[in-house]
Amino acid sequence: MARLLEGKSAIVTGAALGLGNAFARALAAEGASLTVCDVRVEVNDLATTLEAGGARAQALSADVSVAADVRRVVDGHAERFGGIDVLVSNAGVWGPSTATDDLDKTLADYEAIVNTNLKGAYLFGRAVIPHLIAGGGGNIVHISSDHVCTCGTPALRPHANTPACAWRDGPPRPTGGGPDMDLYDASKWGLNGFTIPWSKALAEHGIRVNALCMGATDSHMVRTFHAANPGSGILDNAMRAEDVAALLIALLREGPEGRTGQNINIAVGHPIELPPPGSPYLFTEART
Amino acid sequence: MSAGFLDGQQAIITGAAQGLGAAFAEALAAEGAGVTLCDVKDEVEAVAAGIRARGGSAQAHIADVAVREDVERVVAEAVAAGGGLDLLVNNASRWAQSPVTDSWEKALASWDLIMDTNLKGAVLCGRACVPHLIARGGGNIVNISTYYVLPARSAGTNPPGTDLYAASKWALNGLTQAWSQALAGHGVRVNALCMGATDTAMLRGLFEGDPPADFAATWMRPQQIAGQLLDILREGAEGRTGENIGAWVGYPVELGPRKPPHEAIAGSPVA
Repeated sequence: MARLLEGKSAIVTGAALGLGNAFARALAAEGASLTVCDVRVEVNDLATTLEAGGARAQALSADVSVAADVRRVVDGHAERFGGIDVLVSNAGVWGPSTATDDLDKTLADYEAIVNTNLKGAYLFGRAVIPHLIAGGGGNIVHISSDHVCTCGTPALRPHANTPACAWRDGPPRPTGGGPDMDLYDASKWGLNGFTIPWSKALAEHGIRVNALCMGATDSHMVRTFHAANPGSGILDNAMRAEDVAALLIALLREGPEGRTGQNINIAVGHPIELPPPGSPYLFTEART
Repeated sequence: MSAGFLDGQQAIITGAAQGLGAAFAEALAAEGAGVTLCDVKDEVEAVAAGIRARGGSAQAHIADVAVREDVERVVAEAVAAGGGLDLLVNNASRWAQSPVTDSWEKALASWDLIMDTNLKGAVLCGRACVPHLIARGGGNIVNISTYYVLPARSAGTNPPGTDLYAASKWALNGLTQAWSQALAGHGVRVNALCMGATDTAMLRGLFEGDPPADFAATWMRPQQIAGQLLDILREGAEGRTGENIGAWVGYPVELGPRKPPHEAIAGSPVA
């Protein structure tokens, strides 16, 4: 079978470790040429690995919250690969922030969390959209959080076959990550403002925009959280990054007629699979 | 001014020069609250003067909520005037078209224009007020959002050309939910008002010239949304917290029943 992304190219942000790394490997395995970027130097090792596996790949050092870095990555990608077909806006950071923090900490947190997780997705999206339009279509995939699309909201995800879900026997899971996640959750909720409007603005160009709303995956970020919160149990049932990356490929495999403008909930304890398009437990803007 | 249920309380209303912010300030003052108004527009002075002319207690400050020093100054003035602080209405907000086909330079400028006011401003004002609300033994924060963040009851929500405005309001969900949990032990409630089309300068600014009169007549009035704000406060210390409260054209403008936790932010599915 021909590989899905033969002759196509993709950018993955935050690709040095964890989920971004797995996304890049999965895309390369399907034949895509890759630009991978990160603030971490380990991203260079990934490019080396991908090339050793026969893929065309380049690694660029970039802070997604810095406009000049974003321009350099996107322009560098287009120059090397002649266009772009897939953007995976994966770069994200987590750190505790809460209502009682002082203004010094808050301004630093805002810059670190909001500017990476939300502004980074905005900048990359805006920079690649002209290339996607020129190429006649493509995909933007945001990596969001199950804090904004849980297995309990905005409508119930069935629990019939989810023995490992912590919310199986209790009330439906509320949104949000708790009192010390205000800026992280703001950044992930904010992505809805790009996923939904962009899906509408770009549908006529054959460009789909979706978000994977991740539960805890065994990744660098989640291990960082675990180190700071050793009693949380977050790693006990964490999903494997490779399994989530397979879901990204399944989303792309839907092709131009596939879903767009949707938050796809990927919840710990539930099967890691694409829900049926239009499934009632997905958030869609048109629920009338 | 006759006694109201907010006598002795002090409120900050950001973006109070016009529209919803002015209506919030006037409604709070009419119930006896001392109000501190701020805006980047100097029309805010006239709104405060009007409140004083009707016997209310109001002060106005020219301030940009995205600027830390401005926020600190406004909060200090409010606390000085009221001997403390009971309420923050995080209302200041900018709306602008930001089509995905804009130039790179325009895209960068739009981020600063919209996100600095609508999101960073809400964060800074919240942080600056929280110590004073806690010191008072309780109070309220009300974030002003949009019906975009609740399940749609009509067409036209989350339109294609205003991604940053939508993102800024979606992001407020994170503040409303986390703050409500962080501050529950201090008696501070945090909710958001998520309204559809309301007859304000912001909405009228979307039209070239005047909007069609019969269309504008269908819009909600700022005073109705201000009524929701007062109803939140009337609930008292045991009232709801961490909830997005919707208001839609064609539906009663009311708080509605309290939602269960899993629907408090995400909203109730539309039948």
